[in-house]
Amino acid sequence: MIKGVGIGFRRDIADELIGMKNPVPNFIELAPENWIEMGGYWRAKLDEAAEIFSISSHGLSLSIGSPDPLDFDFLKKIKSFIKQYNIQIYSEHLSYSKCDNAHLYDLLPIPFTQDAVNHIVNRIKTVQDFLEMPLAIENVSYYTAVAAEMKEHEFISQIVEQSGCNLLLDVNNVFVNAFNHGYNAKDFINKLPLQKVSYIHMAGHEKIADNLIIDTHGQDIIPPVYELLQWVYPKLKKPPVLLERDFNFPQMDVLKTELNTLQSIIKNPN
Amino acid sequence: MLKPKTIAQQSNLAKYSRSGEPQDLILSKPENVYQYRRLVFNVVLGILKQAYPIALKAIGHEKFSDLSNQFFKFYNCQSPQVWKLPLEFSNWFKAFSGKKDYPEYLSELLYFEWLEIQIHTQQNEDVSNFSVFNFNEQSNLKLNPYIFSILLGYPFHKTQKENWIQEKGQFPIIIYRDFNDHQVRFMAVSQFGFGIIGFIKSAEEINYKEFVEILKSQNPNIQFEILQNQVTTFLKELSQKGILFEIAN
Repeated sequence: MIKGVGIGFRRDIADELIGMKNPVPNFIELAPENWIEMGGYWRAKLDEAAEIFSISSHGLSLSIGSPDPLDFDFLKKIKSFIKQYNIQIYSEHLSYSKCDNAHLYDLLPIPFTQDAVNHIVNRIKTVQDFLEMPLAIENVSYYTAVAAEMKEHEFISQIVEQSGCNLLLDVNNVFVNAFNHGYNAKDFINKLPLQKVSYIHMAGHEKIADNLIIDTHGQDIIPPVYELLQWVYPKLKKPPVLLERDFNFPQMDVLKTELNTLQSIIKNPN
Repeated sequence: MLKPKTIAQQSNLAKYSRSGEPQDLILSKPENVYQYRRLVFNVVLGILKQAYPIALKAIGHEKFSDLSNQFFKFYNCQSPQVWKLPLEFSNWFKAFSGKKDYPEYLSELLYFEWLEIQIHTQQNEDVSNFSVFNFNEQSNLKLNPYIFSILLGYPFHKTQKENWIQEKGQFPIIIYRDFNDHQVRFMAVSQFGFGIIGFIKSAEEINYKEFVEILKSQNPNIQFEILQNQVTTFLKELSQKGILFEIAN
């Protein structure tokens, strides 16, 4: 069972993670799209890591909110990969990354509308049935709402409650959205179905203007985001926490300090 | 079921992100929508620049970026795995109507650079019964499964880009992945060696004795000892480089 604090398995730091000591991450997370059907050097690295760590997976291309049909060939590959590496968590983004039969390779915001809720609920149920495991869906950062007819928390809550999926609470995304859209992060979190939070993401971001933060995963986690985790964690059922760092990698000591801080928060949340 | 309005908004945001061209969008913060174009295109451009460092250097950042923009705007990317995108880019460029505005070698260069990625990432195969090639007459010849032979029209591997068009010709190349360290290596071969590799590759099962007999019958005008010496030397080199193996019958 995945628990404790994990870290994203990225190629830039693969060797360091494989040999990491004090602290040793409790698990690693990877994007299946980046590893499926890959052989050679990187497959060897993945297999080496899989010998040491439990693995959780966080997808990029399912495009659960897309108007386009679900890609069952792709889901089949995901299912097989999950089985091969005994992966216990499969999470995805509450966004869309494919439209008009074209992949976009990034996360676009779904209109907060009732028809989108219904559409996504059906798709999540289909995916969960196909994979024979629950899906955890992540609240994403967004820089503008598109044709919104309801609040973000209503949109997320309805989808989680009606589909029966789990919620991946990305604490940094809440912070980023609260800043960019002018709401209170704690009020927002309190309105989410917290009993369904099965997984947490923590990351850094970049403030690029006085009124705009971009969710980059390329900076250190800032204190207010740690504080938000410290505040919310006692309300949850001790979900695993993942440190996401995708580029602009610092010295490993910095990542170790972040892991230590996260471990300390989840052990002593108050 | 999604309402037409929702679908249209999603489609318009996707179109905007792909092209940067204004679309009909209902936005809470219109001033921020540019971030989507920037973020989406940066992912695509980053992947293509990483995959095609030689092409990038050859045509320059501005032209490469413009080409990537046209690709992403007009072509529907099909793979959910972004690391496979460079293959789609290479295939798209082959049929691109504006190809004439780019150097004549670019199509082949993109393909050549993709091949390195393809072989580096090729799915692993079972090679547990492969052993060092020892010229055993009854053993079947087996090529490293992570190999590609290509007859290049431009000497990308030999000279600077200024000379590529001037020295246009035929350059047989073997690209292969080392079993042990997984690194991709390149080997320039003669037309004769290129033919031998092609022949072994196409033969499902052939032992060394049969191989020599066939070579002999195909080259009646070459003195057998000379032919055998040439072949032996070449096969030894292939074996030493981890390109040729044998499987016991």
